[in-house]
Amino acid sequence: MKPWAGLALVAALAGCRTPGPPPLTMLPARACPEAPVLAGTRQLAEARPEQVDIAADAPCIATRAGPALYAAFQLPPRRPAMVEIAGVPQGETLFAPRAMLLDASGRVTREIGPDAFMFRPLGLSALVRLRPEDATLVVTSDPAAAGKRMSRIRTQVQTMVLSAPPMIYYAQDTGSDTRQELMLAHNGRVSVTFRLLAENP
Amino acid sequence: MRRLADFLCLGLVACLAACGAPPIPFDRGATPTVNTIGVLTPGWPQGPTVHTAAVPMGGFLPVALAAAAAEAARESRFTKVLEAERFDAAGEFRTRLVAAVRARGYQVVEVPATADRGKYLETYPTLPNPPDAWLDCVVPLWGYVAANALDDTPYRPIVGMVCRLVRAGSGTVLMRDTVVYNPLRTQPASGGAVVIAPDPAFAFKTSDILMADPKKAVAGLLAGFDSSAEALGGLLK
Repeated sequence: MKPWAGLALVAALAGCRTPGPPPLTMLPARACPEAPVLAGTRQLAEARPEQVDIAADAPCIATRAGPALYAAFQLPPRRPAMVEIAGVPQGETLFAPRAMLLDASGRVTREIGPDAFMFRPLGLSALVRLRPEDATLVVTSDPAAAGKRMSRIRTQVQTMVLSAPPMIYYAQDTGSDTRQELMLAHNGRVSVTFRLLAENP
Repeated sequence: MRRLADFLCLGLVACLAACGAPPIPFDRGATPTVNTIGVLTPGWPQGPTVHTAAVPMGGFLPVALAAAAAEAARESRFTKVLEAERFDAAGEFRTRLVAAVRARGYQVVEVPATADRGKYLETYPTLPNPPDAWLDCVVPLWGYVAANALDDTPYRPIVGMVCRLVRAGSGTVLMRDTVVYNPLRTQPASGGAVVIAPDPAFAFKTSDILMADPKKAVAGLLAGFDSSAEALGGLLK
């Protein structure tokens, strides 16, 4: 491929934005159990992000704040380890994440509240160090946060490289300063990554 | 040269987040013996940055050299503006860092360390009553950046910080993370830094406008310090 064609492709891709599903801020009335159903739990593999698109027909659970949609993940037993849990923006829609950890008997041992989630490059993300008893991770939507709007300024610099070896090499930065509008929702994309930690990093 | 140094600093923040130092989350519930934290004087750069990231035709050496000279002049001028305001950036940042740790219920001991370092300390001080853990932070850069040299991208505050919490005695790293206020360079998608969007109230269309309003310029920096320290506190919960 000619270098100019590559440059045009990069520019075109940079200009494209993936539209997301409409944000689901209220759940339709339906009967939700108080405990998650763990049949069909997804198995996590080391360092491989598991992405799930949670839609209105996802399983639901009754929480103190109201009904919530969820996805469950089976954690590998190796420790020390951590998981990164993230709501990933899709267009304007951002899954409003909460999480809970269950032991092998299905008992909830820890809750990861919304204040544990911060923006990282992947999205609204929490890093959680796992304990030996943690067997299952359940990521739920946060009924208290669904419907809230967020507006974030994003400054970005991208480098485009034009090269025609062996004589021509040129790198040009382009900068942008834009506003990102997001709405927290019951639906959207969730990413969970299990990672081993070094014994003594 | 300064432009090159700034670029390297900007890259350093991304690099510390990406290469060789993936984040390690702290599990406070599983670490009940950490009650007292020794907050070391953070590593701190020599001066503020006033960086313009994308310069048209900046890939050509003469343009890059001219941009570097202009940037050095801007930074020198901004340093004088902050001095005239008696703005102690390192002191203000440290105060906020200590407050953020204290707000999470820890006892804090402030421990002097050299600020002239671009990396974590290799050994930690020996004290008669050592804390349970050391909080070792390095700020590779702070100041203002504009995404490009055109007037459509204003100068906004930037703060980059890497921190780790190290258990005293054993040296075990209990927490390690990177916090970037107004990240300019794209961070790695997975395992990347905490990224904080800049406060829209602090935007200056040109560097001249930035220099002409020192009180607002300082307020913008303090907003960045506040948010960065608060995020760090959140990582110690």
